[in-house]
Amino acid sequence: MAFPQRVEDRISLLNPSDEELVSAYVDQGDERAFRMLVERHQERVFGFLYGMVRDRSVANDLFQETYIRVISALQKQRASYSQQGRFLGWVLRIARNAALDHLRSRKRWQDVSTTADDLDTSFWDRLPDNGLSSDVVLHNSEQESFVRECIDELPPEQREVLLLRHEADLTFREIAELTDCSINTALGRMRYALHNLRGIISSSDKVELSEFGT
Amino acid sequence: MEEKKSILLHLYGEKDAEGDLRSLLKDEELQSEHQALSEVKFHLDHLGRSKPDATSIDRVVAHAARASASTEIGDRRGDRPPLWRTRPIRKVLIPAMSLAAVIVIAVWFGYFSSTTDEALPASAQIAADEMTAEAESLLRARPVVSGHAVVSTGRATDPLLVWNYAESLRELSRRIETMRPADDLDWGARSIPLETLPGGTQPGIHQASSRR
Repeated sequence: MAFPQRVEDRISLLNPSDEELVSAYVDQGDERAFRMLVERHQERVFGFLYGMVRDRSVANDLFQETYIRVISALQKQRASYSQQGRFLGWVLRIARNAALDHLRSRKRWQDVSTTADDLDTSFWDRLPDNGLSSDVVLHNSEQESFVRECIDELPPEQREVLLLRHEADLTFREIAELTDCSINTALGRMRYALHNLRGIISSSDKVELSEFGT
Repeated sequence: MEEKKSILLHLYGEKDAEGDLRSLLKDEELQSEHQALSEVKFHLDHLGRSKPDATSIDRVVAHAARASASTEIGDRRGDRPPLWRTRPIRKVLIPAMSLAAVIVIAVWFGYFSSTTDEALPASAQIAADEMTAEAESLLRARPVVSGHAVVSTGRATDPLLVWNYAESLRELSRRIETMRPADDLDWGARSIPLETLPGGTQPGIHQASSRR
């Protein structure tokens, strides 16, 4: 394979687009391309799933389930992806369906406790991988878990929009398309989510709102 | 409400016009809205990013490799061929039955027309012969001149038609002569007795009982 002469081609070779990676996997069976694709969007997809189910092991299962569905769809009928447009939006739609399926089944079996699942999580998985001191890490971790608990208290529609905007980095227009509502509805839900979240945090005597970000 | 949504779009960088935001923030209510939302957003932005377990990614990639290996490139399903829309049986059956009925009727008429030509030869032939003979006899007929019938000299055995106009001509002549003086009549003239008018082969008025 000749080295590309055009600058655009060289940039494309170094930083291929999602579409190019999908083509490399589907047409040539290049699993490295698929790994790059998964790793590129892992935080967005997993962050959204984790925010929806609030259970790390379940989020991992749903993450795998999502990509198994993606692989199946790509192998069988790639046209369904091509018509969707943006790869991340397409994957997040599949992830959302997987999360909603899980939430519905959990609602059906809500008498069964899921707290035991936390025991299956490896201790090493819980360790943070940054180089901060243990006090700072503990403080940040407490704050983060507190905010996530506050997010959990939001109504489902508002929480979904907030997660799609903050975890998946979708625009409001993309969120509206994904959740099958108008952009005004998506904006309204986001606005109420932020106001409600502010109210929940303010009403808590655990942490002052002004403490965050310091 | 629209201004508040516009502030949200500005906050998330989905609306670029900076001047528009400044004009919005001149309103105190909108300014407090912007401050409240940006405060919460700031804290949400600083939440840590969650990553899946490395084993999850490895499993996904392994599954992708297996799926790719098990599916040959040539075996991959392309676009499906176009499907012919199944027509309702009613739409097919009615034209087919109509066509069949037309064919049956045409065959039936064709069959009976051929059989009637063959079945009635004798009666039709006799009628045609009679009509031909009658026409020929009419053609052979000749008019009578001055009381003598001129007979065609064809076959002697043929029946001949004879017209005798002599008597009719004489009667007509008498009528004309009788009516001629009536041209000289005028108003006030004497009436002509009815007995003088011609009444048939015998002149004069006859009683109805005597007309036999």
